[in-house]
Amino acid sequence: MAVASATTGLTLPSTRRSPLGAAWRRYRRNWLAVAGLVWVAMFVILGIIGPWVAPSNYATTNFLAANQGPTWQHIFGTDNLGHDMFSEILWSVQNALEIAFGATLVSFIVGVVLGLWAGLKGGTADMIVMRLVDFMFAFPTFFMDLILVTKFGRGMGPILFAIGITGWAGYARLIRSLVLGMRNGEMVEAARALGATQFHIMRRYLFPNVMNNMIVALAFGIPGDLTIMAGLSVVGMGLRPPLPSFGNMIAAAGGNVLGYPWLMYFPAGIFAVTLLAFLFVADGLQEALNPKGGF
Amino acid sequence: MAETLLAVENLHTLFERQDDVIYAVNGVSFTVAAGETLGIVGESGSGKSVSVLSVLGLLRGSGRVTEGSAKFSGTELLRLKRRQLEDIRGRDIGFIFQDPMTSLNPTMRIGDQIMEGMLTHHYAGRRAAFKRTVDLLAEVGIPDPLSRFRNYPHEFSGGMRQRVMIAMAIACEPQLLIADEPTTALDVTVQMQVLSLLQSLRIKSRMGVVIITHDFGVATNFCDRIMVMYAGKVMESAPLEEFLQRPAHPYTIGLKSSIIEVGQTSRPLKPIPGTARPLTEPPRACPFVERCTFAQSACREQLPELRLVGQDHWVACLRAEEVMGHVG
Repeated sequence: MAVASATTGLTLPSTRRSPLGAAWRRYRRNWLAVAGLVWVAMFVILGIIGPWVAPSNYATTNFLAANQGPTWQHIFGTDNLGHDMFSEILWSVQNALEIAFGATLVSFIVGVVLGLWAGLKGGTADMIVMRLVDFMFAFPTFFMDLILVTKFGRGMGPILFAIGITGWAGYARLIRSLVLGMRNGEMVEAARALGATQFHIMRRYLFPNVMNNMIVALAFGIPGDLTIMAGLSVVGMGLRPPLPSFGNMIAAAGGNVLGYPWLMYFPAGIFAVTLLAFLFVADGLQEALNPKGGF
Repeated sequence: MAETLLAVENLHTLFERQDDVIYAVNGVSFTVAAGETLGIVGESGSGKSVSVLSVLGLLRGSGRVTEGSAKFSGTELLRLKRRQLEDIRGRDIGFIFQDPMTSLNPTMRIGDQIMEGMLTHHYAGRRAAFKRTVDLLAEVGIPDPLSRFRNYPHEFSGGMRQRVMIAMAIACEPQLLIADEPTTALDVTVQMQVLSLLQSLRIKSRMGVVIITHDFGVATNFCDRIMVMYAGKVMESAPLEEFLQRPAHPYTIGLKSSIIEVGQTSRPLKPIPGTARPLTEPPRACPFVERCTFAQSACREQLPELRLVGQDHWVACLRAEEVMGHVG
């Protein structure tokens, strides 16, 4: 591995080999991951500045310019209500990112708390949490999302909450298994022999050692949550129009894809590339943080 | 004799499993004095590690102590609360584990890990702990300690990691150091270095040391006193000289004739016949009887107690005198 090569020659190995630095070096070697990161970074910047640079508001319609192909004025064309598709996409980026990071973070936090608790406590606590996890895995979560969105409305908040609260089972199961594997391991035993308290062991030993795996799992979760969000739109339960989202645009374009194909090309293309970019980033993180293979 | 540091008496430990119970330690007693090195020898599963882990409350899983006492400088360890034990572990009693490859935290710098013990036990403030860590690294023989302080465990070799473990164990100047198979995971050449390091540290600080090992060579080279365990019981315990000159237990003799000595090619190795008995019930007869060449019918009927057969020489065998005569 990289460590061995650092000790060649007579000079002492550099002391600047922080784990983050090493991870970044491994990450950089994967050009797809770097490309993905560039796209994600652009996406994030667009998400922040999109509403300001968009030529028009997402709700602005213009019936005199409906169903136009790409022109210099509307570079991505317009839809049947005369929405400028370029503006729609710029506004959608923000919503997509809020779901991508927000919902995933909600799942992550719920999963980590429950999984850590189950793994450390064991016994009844473990039993209850893991049966709950089994239930979440057995029950179609998309259906649960639909129920929740139907109940609480089709705004950003309810959708974020619904996707977040149904997606934690995988994180819980992963962190529980990692903690179980370590809880009785020699590292923890050695720490206990040094007089470390349980809280200290959790904070300085267990948590940092499971974080690599958890971050990778988090990164893989993001494209999944984006897909669920778009899926809700496709079945008609996504963000309520005129709020823009990639799912809404794709779903609307599906009806007359033969007549106005550009309405499908641009949103679907950008959305697909974004999903791929997130996957490449996750894959790169996997390689960078878990060089030995990980979960 | 120097003052007694650790006095374990009649310790019993068992593990409850799904369908049966493992009687791992069945009435073990021993003492360690300041400046003394005790070697606990025995084959795998003889209860060496478990008896020491029991004393420090480090048993894993379903293990628990059912009987006995363990006094450390007069304090009964087995009755302490978890918090009080945590205070003693690492501060008054240092511990070195078998496998330095898996015992260090891969996400922490070497130096931080060594400092950690001192900070938890309020042995020193941050600055003082840092200074002492650098000194400790130098003391255990790590070159360039200042820059090595910032390394992670994966940048160290096995021997160096074991040195780090030793530095962690002695950071708070414990009175007692327990080393559980400290050299088993290391190369033979590194073994000697680590053992002589332990030896010199012991002489410098007058710590009591317990070395748990299945390597007879390690025990006879570095210990003042040797205790042989089998099936969770003490078979024999004697000062080194006495132990080497006049072994009094058939198991000890079996152990000694089953090691390879360098330069001795003519003597055939004599392995002890049979395998260790399962520990699913407490021993009622001599646990070694099935494998013993000296066994008599009496050996199957009663449990031999430890008795004195020489200068501070204890043995648990009904026919110890004959065994000694036979060899001598």
